Amino acid sequence: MKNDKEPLLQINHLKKYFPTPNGLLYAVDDVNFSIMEGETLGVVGESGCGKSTLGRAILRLHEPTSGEVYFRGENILNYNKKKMKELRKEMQIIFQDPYESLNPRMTVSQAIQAPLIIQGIYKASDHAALEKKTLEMMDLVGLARRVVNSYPHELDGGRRQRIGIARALALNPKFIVCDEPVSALDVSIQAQVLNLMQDLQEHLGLTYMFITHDLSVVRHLSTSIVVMYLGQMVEKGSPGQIFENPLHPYTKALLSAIPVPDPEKKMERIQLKGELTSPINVEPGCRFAKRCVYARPECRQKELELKEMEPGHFVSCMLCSG
Amino acid sequence: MSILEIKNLKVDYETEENTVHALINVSLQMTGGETLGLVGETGAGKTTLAKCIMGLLPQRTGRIRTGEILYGGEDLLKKDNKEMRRIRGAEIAMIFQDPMTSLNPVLTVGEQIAEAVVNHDHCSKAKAFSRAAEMLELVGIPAERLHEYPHQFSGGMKQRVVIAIALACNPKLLIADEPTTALDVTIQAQVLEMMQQLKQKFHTSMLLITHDLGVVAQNCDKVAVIYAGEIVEYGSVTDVFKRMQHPYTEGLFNSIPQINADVKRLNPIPGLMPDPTNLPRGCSFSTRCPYADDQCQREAPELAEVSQDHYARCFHRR
Repeated sequence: MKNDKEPLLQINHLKKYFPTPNGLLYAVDDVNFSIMEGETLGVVGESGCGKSTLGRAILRLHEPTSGEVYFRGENILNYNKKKMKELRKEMQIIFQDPYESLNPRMTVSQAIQAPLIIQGIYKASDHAALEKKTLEMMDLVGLARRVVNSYPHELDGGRRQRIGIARALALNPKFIVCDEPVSALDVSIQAQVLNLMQDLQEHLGLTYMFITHDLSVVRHLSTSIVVMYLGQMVEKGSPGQIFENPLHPYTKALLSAIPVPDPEKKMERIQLKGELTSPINVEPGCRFAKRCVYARPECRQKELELKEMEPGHFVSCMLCSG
Repeated sequence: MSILEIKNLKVDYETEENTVHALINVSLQMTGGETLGLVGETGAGKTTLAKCIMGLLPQRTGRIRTGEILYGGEDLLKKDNKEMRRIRGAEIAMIFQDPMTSLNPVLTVGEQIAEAVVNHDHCSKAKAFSRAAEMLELVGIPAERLHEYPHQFSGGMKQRVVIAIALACNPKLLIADEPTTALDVTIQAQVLEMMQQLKQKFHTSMLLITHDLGVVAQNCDKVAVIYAGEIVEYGSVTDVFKRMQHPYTEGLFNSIPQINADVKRLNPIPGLMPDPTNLPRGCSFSTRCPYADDQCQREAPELAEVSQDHYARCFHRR
């Protein structure tokens, strides 16, 4: 697993718990991974599995409960506010919903300029330079220059998401958390935006953490994939390993649940039992055990660890032994 | 026998400045127990069609120019509000797209499900609540959460509540407007499976509006592809998926990432859907179509039968 290159981002034992009236909510529980520069890590899982919280905890939009986040070898959780602000130029996020993540009272140009002004790269009074940069960013993400003074409500989802991307890229970041960037878009537009993100990655050498529930998107983009369930990482590997040889029962169920766009291939779905267990005050043992068809009594007793089954392919399941 | 028949439906939205051509001569037929998939992108007119069937077209702007919607032989467009209120929910129910705005934030989910039951079955409140609890379990939410408010649920769970409301009165025709778009795949599979079971049990027909071609392939008998207010291809799922005739259908298939193959780059349809206030003169897809020629820009093709029960609206059928 150790590469001779140093990873751009390394997460060690990252935890984020939220206090709720009913007890602690284990949103992210002991997650470890690293991302090399220029690569894409896909994070998949169902809603509520903590994938968005993970993305936000890494950027300290939610302060992690414990753990370490190394960016270029430095633990950013020790950074003070000023240093953190400086760092945000390098770490950006593209939000899920282009309908709600843009300020409705800001025009396209204002939205793209806001991070530039906040970070002090341009002075707010320097209109000429700001405008030049805005148009440059709009060209980069394929937004027609004529919409420069439009408000978000005048634009369709694909264009709005391009604003979100332009905004994230304006500061020339190295690392971008993409939190479901295309899930609100139509397929033909989704393909356009995914291609755009791929092109940008190639041209600008970006590193992505791509959070999504759409497994086909993840296969297409990622260099490695993390599967999450109720705050924990259950499987990690290359797209080939995850898709061709899934080991964890949850990954298998997830893959079998994807509807295939071919009426002649009927799905053989692995039935998941029962309901989602609550991430509040979790019981020890495998969190997936309650829904798992293979679960045995031992599964609910021991805490599970990620085991390496083949080089680079990790799984946390009792029933998988090397 | 056909449960729903739509004939030559033409719908515009009148705004102060211009006219939006939302549906252009749409004709569809659904037989009892059948699932018809309606596929298309945002703005293609899918939801408008659903709203016409439900009689929920915005009164101020929506204009039905021509057409009939026959449900069990009767034209729904001629029904008055009172009759439509009876039909909605009990006969034809709708699952709305956006769970964030389709639930009432100040009522508990139990009250909202029970409301539908009380309105149509005229039963006691207690009975309605036990039905509500049953429905919640059916859509995969523990019944204890009956007394919680929508904001306490995740987006996916809210959508399941919406589905529970729609199914609570065992409707004969279910219009599902992107019912599982907001759900996770495992839950989507569960919900679709549940909807299939319910459909079979009560012989419900379903109009399934979606943009997910996988969902259509796995759940529908027939499919209609809609683009800029027009049906561009219509036929059995096998015909449309295996022997597609329209370039737009082809473009849609090229746009989706394949789960079973490593594709380096997707092949999206270039450009955007035409402005519905200002549609191109000829074929409405001609602006994005790789095969378009002079004829396509001059005249609009008709929906023509290419093989038995398989229709396409294109001059260049393959």
